[in-house]
Amino acid sequence: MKSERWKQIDHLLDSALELKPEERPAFLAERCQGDEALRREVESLLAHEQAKDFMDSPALEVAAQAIAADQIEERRTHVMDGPPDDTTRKFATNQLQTNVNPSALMPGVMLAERYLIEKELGQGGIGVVYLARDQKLHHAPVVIKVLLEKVRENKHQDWIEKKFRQEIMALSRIDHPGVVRALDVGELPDGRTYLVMQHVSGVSLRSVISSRGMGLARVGHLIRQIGQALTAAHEQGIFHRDLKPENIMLQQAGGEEYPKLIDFGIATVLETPNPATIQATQVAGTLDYMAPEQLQGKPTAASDIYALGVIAYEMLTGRMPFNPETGYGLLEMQRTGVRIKPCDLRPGLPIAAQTVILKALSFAQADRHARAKDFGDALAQALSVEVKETQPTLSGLELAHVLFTDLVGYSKLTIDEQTLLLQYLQEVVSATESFQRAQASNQLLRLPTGDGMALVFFGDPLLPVKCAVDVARALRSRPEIKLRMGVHTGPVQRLSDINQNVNVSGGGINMAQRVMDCGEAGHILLSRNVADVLSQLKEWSQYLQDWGEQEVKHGVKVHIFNLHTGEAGNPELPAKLRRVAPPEPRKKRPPLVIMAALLAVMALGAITWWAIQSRFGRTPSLPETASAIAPARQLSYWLTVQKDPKRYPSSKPFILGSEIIFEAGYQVQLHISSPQAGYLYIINEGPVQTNGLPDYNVLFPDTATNNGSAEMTANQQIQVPQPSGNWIIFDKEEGVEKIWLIWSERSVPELEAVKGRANPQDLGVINDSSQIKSVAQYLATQSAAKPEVEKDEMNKRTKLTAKNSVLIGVVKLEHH
Amino acid sequence: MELPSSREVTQLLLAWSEGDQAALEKLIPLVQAELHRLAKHYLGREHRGHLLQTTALVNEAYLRLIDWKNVRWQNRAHFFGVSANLMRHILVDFARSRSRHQAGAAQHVSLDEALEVSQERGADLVALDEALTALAELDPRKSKIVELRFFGGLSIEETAEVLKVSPMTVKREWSKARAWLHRELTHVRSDEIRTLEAN
Repeated sequence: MKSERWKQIDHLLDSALELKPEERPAFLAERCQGDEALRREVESLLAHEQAKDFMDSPALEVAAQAIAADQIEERRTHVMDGPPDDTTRKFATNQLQTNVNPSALMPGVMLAERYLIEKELGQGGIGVVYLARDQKLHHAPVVIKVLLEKVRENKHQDWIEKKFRQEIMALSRIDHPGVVRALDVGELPDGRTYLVMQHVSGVSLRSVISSRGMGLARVGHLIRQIGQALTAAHEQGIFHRDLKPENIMLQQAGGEEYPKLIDFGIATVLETPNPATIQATQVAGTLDYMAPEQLQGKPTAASDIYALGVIAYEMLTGRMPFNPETGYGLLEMQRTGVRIKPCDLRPGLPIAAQTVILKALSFAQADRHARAKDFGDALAQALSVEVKETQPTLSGLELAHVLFTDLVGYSKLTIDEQTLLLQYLQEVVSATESFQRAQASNQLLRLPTGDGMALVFFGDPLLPVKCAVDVARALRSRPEIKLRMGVHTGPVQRLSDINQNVNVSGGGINMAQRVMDCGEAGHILLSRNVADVLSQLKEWSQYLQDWGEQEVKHGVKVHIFNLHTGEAGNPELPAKLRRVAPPEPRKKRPPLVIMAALLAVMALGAITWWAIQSRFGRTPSLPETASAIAPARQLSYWLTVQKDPKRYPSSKPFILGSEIIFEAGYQVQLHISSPQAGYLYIINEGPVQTNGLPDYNVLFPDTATNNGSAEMTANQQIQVPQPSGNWIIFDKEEGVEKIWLIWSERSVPELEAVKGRANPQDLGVINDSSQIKSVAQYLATQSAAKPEVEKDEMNKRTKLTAKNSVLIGVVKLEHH
Repeated sequence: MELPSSREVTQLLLAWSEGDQAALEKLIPLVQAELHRLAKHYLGREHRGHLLQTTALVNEAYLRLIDWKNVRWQNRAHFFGVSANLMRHILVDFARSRSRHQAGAAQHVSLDEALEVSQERGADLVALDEALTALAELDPRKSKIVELRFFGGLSIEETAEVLKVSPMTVKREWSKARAWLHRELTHVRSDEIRTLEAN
């Protein structure tokens, strides 16, 4: 029986889990209204909810591991009792005395009649770490570190041992809640020193860093405390030298989060003087946090500050500041400095915070903060400055000045060329004065667009124009980079997403893209309202050319101006405008002509509408479109997508006009509609089965909807899967779901034969191999003629048009 | 020992679900065979980093034990429920007899690595079973979800199918149930629930 109280707790948990962790305390305080017991209860469960990996392995695995542990234990007991044969004796000797076995401590071994080794937790280059129970202290868990036996074969053995003892001494001197405590020191029978330390509960910082960056306030809070802990260590003359998110544990107490540094010093006692050997002894991943002087074998306190800077960068952006392939490459990149700035990756990040992080990442130690604490405090301070939010307007809309850029011929490049080019473009844009000014005053949002970017400026309407001109100038030395740009001033809406990132949407952006679309390589095109502002300024008005009103996608008309300063811009009229529009400024057209044109368009009807739209460059003249009226088939589809509700609890379903690459846990519904009547079949094709035949799954028609019929009336909408509350859910398997859409004028016998499979028993699976073959053959023959695909981002639809009486389209849902 | 065939296991599970107690006696050794096969794999493992392989092996073992492909669709949900319950029964019994065998030694059957690294006490299947029974008193649906997922090895979607709720509900309930159990097993729990219940 659910008690009322438990229901209340359960309900509060649901609501709190939808919120960001930092918002939860305030929410609970409000909802619990002084009921402290209730608040504590919910908070305590929320804290335990963080133990993400708990029960991740199924029971069968747990039990099997237990059997394995028993058998190890059994072997050990045999050894103690006297070995039955030589093999075991050898095993025993290895376990306890010789240098051959890398880890002499086995689960079940008792150390100093006090610590019962339970499990090995991990190995570094020179040390190994165990989880043990302190038998004298109620089986309390402790962590024990020992140098690996192979260290003894190292010629620097004495030095390493001495260094390890020094580290132990030093660690026992640090008395700070942010640093793991040393509890005991002892010697193994073979003479090696071991260190017993406090066992830290909680999750590692690594497990909470998300690819989109963590909440600003949380990052500030954590980095400040880590900075203080590091400074406490530095004051005792101890450097961590292996600071990374894996070595920082997060503990929960009283609704607050406290970081604790573990693994002090041990991993880098053995310094390696040159980067080439680092790779041999270290995991490649740990190089990411190493300061240049540490890569050169001379770590200092400033190296820890550098590492903390890398961690802060990663916490805020989800990415690393440098992504080299070798240690040498890294050193070079560090010398050049951070190219992709945190603000580039995290819109809305205060510029002051970026400055603080870049200072910590300085190549020269002297340029970094004097103390780790100074860095942490400065970053927390910079992050606590309220992001300057513009007061919401009545409509929620704001006027933005949008610069839309696009690399011409981008899709023809190889992927690495594309990446390089985009990176270069990003650098050029970020270097312009207007970009930096707008960024500094937090009046800029940047949206990646795939083959370029959109910059959304608030405030000064001249900023995007100046930015465009500066970029064009900078690109003059690189004529192989063909960039076109468009500027428009229009309404946008700022949206905050769950990670406090600010995003923006609205017609202002779409229109800037339309303006840009009119141009070719080198063009800087402006919409009328931008040109109106410039024409008021003598400095600019001289560079404007009026190209008159142009028709862009969907019959929308835009008045285009060209900006050409001599240094920047392209004076040539684009070929596509030349074909449609007379180069002379237009006279007012008599209203009668417009009416006639309208009538003509209406007469063509909805069907030809798509055909007309097919591509901007081929804006129609009447005879062309007339031929498209014939028996063409049209179909449009779109997707409703719900992000993984577990990872993004507050995300709502949204509509996509075309496919993206989905993550595991995403859920999708496919919608289909056509202005025509006809017969629709939807079939999901899986991987080829062992018998060599494809695996087909009939999704539509199914017996439960549309009376089991494939026949559709004009404008009827169909959703897959059925019933309407169902979703296609992506699992962890990577791959592509291929969904065939067959849209035919007449019913298709091959498919009519299998449509009955979509019933609750068979779930659409086709078993009969002759049926599978006939479907496969039908699809192979019919799909030879590919439909024309048009992505209509504005209306969020993908439209398919085929010339035949059957349209065969494929929707590919890729997931990883 | 020879590997049990999935058909054999499925037949036994179905028989057991229809009340044939003798089937259980035949099932236990089959489950144990799978366990030993997996354990052998762990022993052979010298270093870490074989996690993926392990996961695949465990999934395979589950598939061999609970092979829904041979079960008719109408029975699917019921079959899952029965299998998960049976796995719980067998595995917890196994853990209980094991801890009787070794007094005082390191008998904790850890639920996962994170737990070991992160908490104060190792937890074992017996303790989990008890906690789960306690959870069933408080919230039967959550307890059932844990049984299906953890003991039965079912995916979120399969669990949703058995309980006839949405996958989203399963995910939400699973994460809350896990939080509750984690707290129970790590003994950090103050006795507030009981205090609250008394109110």
